[in-house]
Amino acid sequence: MTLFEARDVSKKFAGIMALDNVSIDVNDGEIVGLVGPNGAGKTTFFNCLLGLLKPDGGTITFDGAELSRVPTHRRARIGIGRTFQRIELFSGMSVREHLLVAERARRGDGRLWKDVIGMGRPRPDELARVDAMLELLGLTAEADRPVEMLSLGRARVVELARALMIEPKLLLLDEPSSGLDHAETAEIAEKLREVNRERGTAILIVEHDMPMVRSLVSRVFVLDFGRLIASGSVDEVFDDDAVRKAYIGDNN
Amino acid sequence: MDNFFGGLTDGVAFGSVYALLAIGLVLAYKTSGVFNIAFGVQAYASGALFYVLHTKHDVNAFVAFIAAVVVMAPLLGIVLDRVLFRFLRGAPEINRLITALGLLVAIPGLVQLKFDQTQATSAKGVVPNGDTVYSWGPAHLTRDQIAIIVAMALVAIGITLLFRYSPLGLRMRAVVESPRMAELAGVNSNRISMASWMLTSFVAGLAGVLLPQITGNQVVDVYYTTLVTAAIVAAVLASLTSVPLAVAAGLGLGVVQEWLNRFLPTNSIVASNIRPGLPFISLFLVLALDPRLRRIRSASDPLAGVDPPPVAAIAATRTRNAARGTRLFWLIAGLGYLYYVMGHGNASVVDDAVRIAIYAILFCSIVVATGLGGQLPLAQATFAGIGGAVSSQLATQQGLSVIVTILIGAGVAAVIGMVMSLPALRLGGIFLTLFTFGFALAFESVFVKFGWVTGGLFPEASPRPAIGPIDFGNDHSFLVMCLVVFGVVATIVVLVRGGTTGRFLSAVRGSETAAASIGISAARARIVTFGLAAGIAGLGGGLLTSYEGHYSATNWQTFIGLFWLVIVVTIGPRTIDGALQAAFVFVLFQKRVLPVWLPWLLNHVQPFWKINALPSAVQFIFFGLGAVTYAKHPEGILEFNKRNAMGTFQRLTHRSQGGNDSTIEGPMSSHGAAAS
Amino acid sequence: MRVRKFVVSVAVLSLTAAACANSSSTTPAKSTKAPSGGSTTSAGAADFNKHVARPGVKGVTYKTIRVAVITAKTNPIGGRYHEYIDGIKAYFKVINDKGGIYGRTLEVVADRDDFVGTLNVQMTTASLADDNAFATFEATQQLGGADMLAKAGMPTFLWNIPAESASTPKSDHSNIFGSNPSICFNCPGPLNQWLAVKNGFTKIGIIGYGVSASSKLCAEGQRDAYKKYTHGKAEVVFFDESLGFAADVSADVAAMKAKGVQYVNTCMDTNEVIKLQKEMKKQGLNAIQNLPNAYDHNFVRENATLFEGNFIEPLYAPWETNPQSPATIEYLDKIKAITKDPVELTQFGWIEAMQFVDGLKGAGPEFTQQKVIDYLNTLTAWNGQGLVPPVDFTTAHINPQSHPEARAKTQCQPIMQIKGGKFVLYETPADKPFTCFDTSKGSEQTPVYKSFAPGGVG
Repeated sequence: MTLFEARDVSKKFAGIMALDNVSIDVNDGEIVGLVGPNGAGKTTFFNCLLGLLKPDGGTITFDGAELSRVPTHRRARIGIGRTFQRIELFSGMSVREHLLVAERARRGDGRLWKDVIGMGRPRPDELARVDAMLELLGLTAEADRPVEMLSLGRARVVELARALMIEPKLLLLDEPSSGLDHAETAEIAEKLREVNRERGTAILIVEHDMPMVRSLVSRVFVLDFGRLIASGSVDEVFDDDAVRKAYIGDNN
Repeated sequence: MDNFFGGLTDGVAFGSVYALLAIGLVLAYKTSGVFNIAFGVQAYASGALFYVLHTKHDVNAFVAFIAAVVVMAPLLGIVLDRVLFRFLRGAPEINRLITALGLLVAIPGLVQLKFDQTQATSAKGVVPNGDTVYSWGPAHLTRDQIAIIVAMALVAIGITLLFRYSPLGLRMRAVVESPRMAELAGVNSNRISMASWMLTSFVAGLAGVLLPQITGNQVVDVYYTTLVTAAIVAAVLASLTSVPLAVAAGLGLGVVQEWLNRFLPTNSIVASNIRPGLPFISLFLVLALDPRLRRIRSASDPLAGVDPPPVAAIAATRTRNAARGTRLFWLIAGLGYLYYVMGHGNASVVDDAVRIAIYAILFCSIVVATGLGGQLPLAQATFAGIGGAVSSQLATQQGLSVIVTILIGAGVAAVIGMVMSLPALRLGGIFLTLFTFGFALAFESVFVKFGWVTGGLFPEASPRPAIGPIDFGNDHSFLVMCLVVFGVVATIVVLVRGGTTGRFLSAVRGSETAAASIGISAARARIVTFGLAAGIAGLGGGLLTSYEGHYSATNWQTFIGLFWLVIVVTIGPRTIDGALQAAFVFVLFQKRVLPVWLPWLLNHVQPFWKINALPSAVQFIFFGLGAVTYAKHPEGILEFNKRNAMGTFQRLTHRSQGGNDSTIEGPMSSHGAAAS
Repeated sequence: MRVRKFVVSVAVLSLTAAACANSSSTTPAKSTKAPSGGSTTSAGAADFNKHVARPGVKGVTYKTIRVAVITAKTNPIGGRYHEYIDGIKAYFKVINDKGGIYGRTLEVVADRDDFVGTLNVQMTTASLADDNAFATFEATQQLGGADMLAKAGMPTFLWNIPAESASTPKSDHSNIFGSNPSICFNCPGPLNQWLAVKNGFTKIGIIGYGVSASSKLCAEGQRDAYKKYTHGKAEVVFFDESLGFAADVSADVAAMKAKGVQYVNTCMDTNEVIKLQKEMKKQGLNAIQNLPNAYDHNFVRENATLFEGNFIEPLYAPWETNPQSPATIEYLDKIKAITKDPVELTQFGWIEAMQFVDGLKGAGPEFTQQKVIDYLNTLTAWNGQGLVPPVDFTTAHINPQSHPEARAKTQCQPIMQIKGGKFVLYETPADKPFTCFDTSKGSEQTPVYKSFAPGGVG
């Protein structure tokens, strides 16, 4: 069943079509890839999905609901999680605190008066859920470190953990392997498969690392100069001439 | 028609002042990434030197001009760059702004150590016979006015050409965007940044020697800063980036103001209430309504990730023992002090204690807004004043119980704070700060004088509260009440900091985008912060008004609020300790430290000079310069030193036990860059 | 913005207050008693050296009588308030050199900075608790500590421009003394109106700040005074009570020029007045201004051409009288021992110190704070040996805003004109500097010229 659908999404920047009638869909529990060369419009598309940019045309529906008027943070609440290409962590917080914040955000009960009467402290069940997530992503050892002390690879895992804490139905990943070495990339991919398998989380992944994409996704969409030039199963798409020419080049 | 043309020429002349100052602000922002709120006092420094040389000592105008504008001003620029701003490239905008705020407070203090501005009247200008008038029909301009117009035009053209055609201009912009990227491209960013500061300071110096001729021939810092505040409107209209737009906006503002002055009836109620606040009201409106500002995001260096990560928050690095030790120390010291106050202190000592308790409450509002919310609000004193005014008006006019009115006052302040934050939601960083500034100044120039707001010229005596048999008319019992309120406020702040709101706020502070990605609304977090901070300020305002017996507008001047911020930021904006210590300092510095304790100390350590009471300016220098350390120690300088001392202590004790406490260590050097 | 607000609510308040203070009235009508410091005392001259132990009297030691001084030392907008203390010290030195009073010397024990009134309550509290002073002297723009001083029964001597000095329904301020009665912001006498009519000025302009309640009151008071006193002979054709701070005045001047204004009264500080004058010159408006507290000889010398022909009313007997009164001569001589650069506030310090000493003399060798207060409050025409117009302390503490009926019926002030960079007495005989008006009559009256100096001249 279709969980998420973007239909004919367009976005113009100063006369340049950054996105030209792009349509993408993701089904429940599916891992889908979005690839394309630099400047193809992937990040723009992501930002449209998340409400950071307002598309000039087209519709985006999630779980049957139209999203165009839903502000960014609400999209998170209804089940869209994300990670960032450039790491966006909360400086000054430990890994555990990152997850606690996300857990509290998921519950959505941030009333000031509750804090004032002392009900704002982390509750045992929250801590337990955080511990479980730390365990799942292998972050237990670093749980109480300030995030500034983590390597880039571990920081990406923390981002992933934070995104997962809000129990998204759909996870949007923006180049999760960027800046990582092979071992770290493989580790991330493994975690993603695990999450997808155990929780049924659908994933839309933007990625440059082709082996990773091939190993993860069932379907793939290819963007070039803001237009969707191909879509379908991994094998079909990567055999497509236009795709090879535009993106993968002849060295594949 | 006469009014039209007369207004046009005078508007252009006056607008040229705005334009010149706005160019300075834009130039500083463009070439150094600093919103240089201290631009006016930089100008003042040159103005003072020019006055001393030319008017007081009859030095030739040209020589004096060279000394003040061509030599001294760029030198000041070099010093500022070398000592401060060079280390702030790539730092969060708020750090740079605090540094500029510190300078705004410190520079006049420094200048006034040697320059008595109360005597600086009848300033002579650069242009000989500056009051010679040239007339064209209804239009009249003096030489001084023409000089300002010409100077502004030359500066505008020169800078536009510089940016458009010269490699230096390009490099200046590149260095602001990313000093590292520029270095990679073979640009010596240190030299470029120094050149930028010399240039900005030169423009400031030029403004400095020209302005007294249109402000009544006095060289007084307040005139410079007031004009700069008005010029901010023009700079903001130019989105802080375009010199031609700044010129157009400055001139436009001047002309529109003149036409309004000429065509609005001078004795209408609307005019008489709007006109004096016009520049500030327009600042408030421009920031609230200009849609372009939404898109301006502070430039962040794409290579900022190369910087070492910032110092982790104090709570993360203070070990449990250290925290316990500090707390115990303060507890004992506090109890000792209270024992002394209650048992042995005379009325003046009790007065100190009451004020410390009240200011600690007021400063908690800065802890919430700045320490928790990561905002730099310049309107906290205004909110305190609102709380005080509402409370005393309700108590004297409606006869309500003061306890109730103080709470209502706090509530009203909180609501106004929240409502005010609504248009500000879309603004970030410096624009939000400027918005609060505009609000404070607009409130001050329009509302404070109304009898129904403040009680007017003769406010009725505001009573002290009483609960049942306890009468707080007695200062000792009032002190106890203030301490209880402070305890409650401190507890609330601690609970909020440790609770959901605090966590959300620190998430938003860390990364607004990431916070939104997990469902945290930055807007809601900001409203809550503003409301809570304003409410706490209003509470403190109500208490002080009740304590002093009547509403006193002087307690709540915008500048005083700015000084509060500077003190709290210097000492420690993130903790209740910080607020309390800042209150101690604020209350005691002027009353006891400068006139009594420090001279006593200085006279005991050296026998050569007899030192009498130190001038109040010293505190501005002290805390102004203290605030510029914020960039390096966002946790507050006192907190930083406490932690260092604790760290040393612990390392020593651990070494003797062969242990090693890893959590206390961490990168101590920092440029405060966000870990993005 | 550093001190913007000081201007807005404080400096302007004081300076405009001072401008209006020129017009507040006194009661020479009751001055049947010889009005001079030395002779208004109840104790005989011989008693002044009599030393009586004063146990339990605050601020009095065996050898000294202690006084505290609070001034706005830090005062960025220009008023040199701290110089007040020089005048006090100079007068105390005169007394002490003669052997002091009641066997004791007068000593200034505290010099506190109230920071333009911001810290007045705090500094007053501190002074009351810590200084062990018998009397307090203040020169500040706001007197937030007035109620406290009243409650403490502290004889207080101030440059009387703060609105708070007047008694309120809840607090009697009859312990607070100045060289003029409590200030009235909106009830001037007919001085300006008389000047206008006498000089044939039929078209008047009035300007005040829109940011200051007192400045607005002052402007409105002047406007109403023209209606009340000139019977249509002079008309306010331009009225602006909404000027912004540091704003451009060219629009006002253009409007005044268009309306043919001949005489300008302002409720602004000196700085703005200079701006206004320059703008008038620029636009070719040859109107005459009445300048607020600008009795500053250096200032006038430096701006001689600019201010030619303008009027100014000093707040004490001007130095230009001929002959100078003994009190002026003594002041000009003795002040040199303390400062080379005396200003208006210095002379007020001197005058207030004299008031205090008169109070001590009147209280007798067994003086207390209350006796000093009580004695001064019996005086109906204190005039500082002719330096200031007589003050009636039986009515001076009443708030004139709410009790206009308590105001005096006669108003005396020196009127000077600036000519060739000098102050020249206007219309007045050289030995009678004060021009006195009957406030119940209008601009048609013939004022009486007076000197209050002991010999009746100077």
